[in-house]
Formats: sequence, structure tokens, C-alpha cells
Amino acid sequence: MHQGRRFTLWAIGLLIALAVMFVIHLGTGFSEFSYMDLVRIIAGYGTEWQERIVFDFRMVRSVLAICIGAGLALSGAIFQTITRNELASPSVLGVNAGAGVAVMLYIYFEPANAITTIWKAPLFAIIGGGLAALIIFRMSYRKGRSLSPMTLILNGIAVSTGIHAVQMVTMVTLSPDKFNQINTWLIGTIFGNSWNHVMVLAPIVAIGAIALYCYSTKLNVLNLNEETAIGLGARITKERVTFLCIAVVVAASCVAVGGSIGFIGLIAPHIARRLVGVNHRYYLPVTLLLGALLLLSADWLGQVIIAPDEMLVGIIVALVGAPYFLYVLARTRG
Amino acid sequence: MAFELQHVSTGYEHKIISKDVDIRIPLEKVTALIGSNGCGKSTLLKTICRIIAPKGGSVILNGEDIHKKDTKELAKQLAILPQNPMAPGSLTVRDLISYGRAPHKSGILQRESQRDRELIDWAIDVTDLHNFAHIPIQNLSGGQRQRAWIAMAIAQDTDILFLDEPTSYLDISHQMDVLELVERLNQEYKKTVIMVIHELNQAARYADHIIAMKDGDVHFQGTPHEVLTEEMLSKIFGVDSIILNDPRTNRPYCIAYTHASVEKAKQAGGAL
Repeated sequence: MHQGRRFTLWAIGLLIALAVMFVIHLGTGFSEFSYMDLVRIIAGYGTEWQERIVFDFRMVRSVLAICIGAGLALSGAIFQTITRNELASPSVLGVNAGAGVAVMLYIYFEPANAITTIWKAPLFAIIGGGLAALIIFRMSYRKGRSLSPMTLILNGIAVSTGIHAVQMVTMVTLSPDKFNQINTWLIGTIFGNSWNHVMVLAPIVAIGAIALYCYSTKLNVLNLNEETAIGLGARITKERVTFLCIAVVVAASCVAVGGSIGFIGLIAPHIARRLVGVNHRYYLPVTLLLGALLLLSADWLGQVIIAPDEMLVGIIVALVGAPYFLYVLARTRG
Repeated sequence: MAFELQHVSTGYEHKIISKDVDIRIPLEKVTALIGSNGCGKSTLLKTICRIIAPKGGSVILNGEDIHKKDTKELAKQLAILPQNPMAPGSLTVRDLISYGRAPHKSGILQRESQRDRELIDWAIDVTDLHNFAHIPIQNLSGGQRQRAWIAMAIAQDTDILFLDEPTSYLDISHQMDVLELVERLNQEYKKTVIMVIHELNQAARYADHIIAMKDGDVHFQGTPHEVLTEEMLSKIFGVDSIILNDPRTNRPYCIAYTHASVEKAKQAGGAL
């Protein structure tokens, strides 16, 4: 089992890397702590103020970066499998845009700082992302014919562009305060959340991940061409819709908390495939770990690169992600 | 026991290709569907194996209409190798073959069972893919890749196997490879094989039952001796030919002599 061994090695390696990055991330911030201090504070011997910084500011941020990275990566992997296209991801298929505009409209009509209402933003994001996905799928659906991956992606790009236009129009009418709030969120940032956000997001990502892992056989079959998949007993339309719903819910929840962070859902599955191949039994766990590691690292980089100022994590991800996207695009054509 | 098509009409969206087809396909035999390009043999094969739902009539297996049965249950009875099967290129041969076990999986974790492993190993054995088990399918030659796909289909452990042009794009030696494998699957493991094939002499050599189609209709069906006749060749393909008997196999074979229209033109004294 060559592949099984490769998977084990990579999974262990990535877990260690994630743990190391977690500690580095925890040690980074405005107040300087040595790692000895960090250990002392985590063990419960810090001052109240130190504990507040490490647990309520930093650890929340680290844990959310892991959840959001994992969630976006996972749903990207699912989108790529069901469309059988390497370029598919939540952002390409309009989920980010739909979730974004829904949360934006919610902020627009709510009194100031309403985004701190914990569960409302994810709910709106899921509705918005789901609606966008639904519209895109409805547009791509032709009676009596199966869903074409290419049509799906083109419609996704078209609908996203339309949604962005709506966003622009709404944004210019906002008050400066709300504009700043929304703009920061749209670019993507993990700062300024609480444990309550973790309590909402972590279970969604965890349940999604476990469900998808249990269905890895079905996902493997959906990755083949349709006639072969039917021959292997796949109920194609039903399964595609089910997996799509899971992916939309996970991605939209992540977007609601972290903002419209693109590219993670594109890059992580792509690298994972290169490392352990396309069998979902190996591919999904590695995608999840990579997504978490990438976003955690990007968030750390954003904090140190222009310290003491901070760069929004969405910008870091875009700076790395855009060239990678072009690279995948060039490779796909060639 | 047999596969029966009763008044089956089939086609795509707005186009009916076959109308009111009645055929009987014997079980535990090799059946070949032959006919000219675009005559509807692939469409009919896809209808028999449930990829396309018929527009009318029914496909009956063991007294049940297969288009009304649960598709996963059917996948334990019928395996399909489509004309252009596709999988991600980086998938290894063994992983691809293991996908053939998908219809037999149930429960939450879906680990590979002892039975799964035995059948995967057997499929690798029968198709002689030992040396390639851990190689990505994109690195295989056409013949090896076709064998890997056949291995996936037989790992599915079904009694019935559908092959849509299993020998196309292969050179003669690999064609023989695949057909010898079909013969072995039928004779040793009593599998029913239903295949679309272009090469008439191969159909006559390896099939027990031949169905000849033209313009969506079935014109001839029966044993190779009954079907591979000068009349069939002229009617289905418009080709003048001579039919001989191969003493080694006691199967008929044809030598195509000329296209009928050319012969007619010659007789009429026309120049080409």
C-alpha cells in the first residue's frame, strides 16, 4: 500500500506543522510573551490580563483560522469533485459572493455593529450562499441532461460578477463606519471574534468533515465520468445535490465569520491531490489539514509582515492565491 | 433466464433512435452487438444497462423491469465499461480497481473488507496488472489502461458485464488480449458478456450470439453462423463479401470484397 504509507507520513507531518504553527500564532501579537510565559499562561498561572490576551484574543483567532481554513478547503475539494473541475471552489461558484452580499445587506439594514450577533450572520450567509448556488445550478440545468461542469463554472463567474455589482452599489451608499466594517469583512479577517463564533463554526465544520469522510466511497465514484458512475450504482443527481448542500453550508458559515477569503478552497485541494492522489479517503483529511495550516500561516504572516500594523488575512491569501490560480489555469489548458 | 427487451423505444431528448425493439439476450453467453457507425447499437446497449431510460417498453431481467429497480442494487448484478471511461489521471490502478467495490459497501466507515481485497487481487490477477498496481493510470499505455478499466468492472463481481467497444483504439495484439479475457470470463466464471464491437470476424470468433442493427432496428440475431452471412453484410453494411469457415475454431469469417455501390457503378459502366 504505497499510497496508504504516503498518506500516513503526510498526515503526521502536517499535524506536526499545524501544532507548531499554532504555538507560533499564539505567541504572536501586540504584547510580547516568551514561550515560557506562554506555557505558564496556558497552564493557568498568568495574570487575568495575560489570560485574557492569550485565550480570548489569540487562541480564538488561532482556532477560528484553523476552522475556517479547514472548512473552505474541504468545501473546495467537494466542489472540485462534483464538477470534476480543478478550478471549482466556493468563490468561483458564487457561494462567497452570495454569502457576502447576504451578510452585507443584513449589516446594511441592521443598526451599527450588528455583525456581532453571533448566529445571525452565518444564517444569512448560508441563505445567501445557498441562493447563489441554487441560481447557478438552476441556470446550468437542462432538462433530461446531466449537469455540465463547464456551464456550471461559467454561470458561477457570471452570477458572482452580478452580485459584486450589487455589492458595489450598496457599499457606496453606506456611512463611513459601516463601510469600514463591511469592507474589512469582505476582504477577510479573523480578528475581532469571540469563543461564541467558535461554538457556532467548529461544530458545522466538524460535522461536515466527518459526514464527507464517511461518504468518501461515493465521492470517489462521482469523480469518474457519469456512465461509469451510474454503472457503479451512484444516484448521480441526488448525491451531487446532497454534497453540494453540505459544501455550501460549510463554506458559507466560514465566510460569515472570516469574510470572503478566496483561494484557500482552490489551493488546498490542489496541493493535497499532488501529495496523496485523488482517493478521497486520503485526499479529504490532507485537504483539511492543509487548509487549516495555510490560513493559520497566512494570518500569522499578516500580523508580522508590516508589524506593528496588520495586513488583512484576505489580502495575504489573495497575494499567494492569485498567482497559484493562474498557474493551475495554465496547467489545465496545457 | 435471459435479458429481454420488450417493445423498447429509445433515443435522446427529442430524437428517437430505436423503435419497438424486441430482443432476447441469453445469459452466461457472450453477445455481440454489431452494425454500422451511428446505427444505434451503443444507444441500445446503454438502454439495456440502464444508463438511458427507454422512451417506451421495458428491459426485463429475471422477470423484473430493470429501469424500476434500485440502481445500487442493480450495480451488484450489472457492471458497465463505457466507451470512453474517465478518471482523474493521478489515480493509481489499484485504487481505480477498488472503486469497483463501491456498490457492495455499506455502513459508515466503509473500510476495505477481506472479500473486497480478495476480489481486487483477483481482478489484478486476471487482467495481469501486477506490475502496474501502484502506477497512476495516466502513465499506462492504451492497452494497459483498458485492462485496468476491465479489472474495475470485474472487481464489481457481477454476473453480467457490458462492454461498449472494448477494443477500439487498441492494436491487434491488445484487441486479442481483451477478447481472450472476455472469453475466459465467460467460460471460467460463467459471466454474461454483452458488448458492442466493430470487427465482424472478432464478433463471430468470440460471441455466441450476435445482434445486427441498422438505422436503430435489429435486423438479424442468432448464432455467428446464422448472422454472419453474405445477405447480412450486404443488407447492414452494403458490402459484398465472401463468408468462409475457420476450421480451427469452426466459426465463420468474412472477407469483404467490395462496397456494393462500387460494384453497381462498375456494372453500370460508370467511371469513379
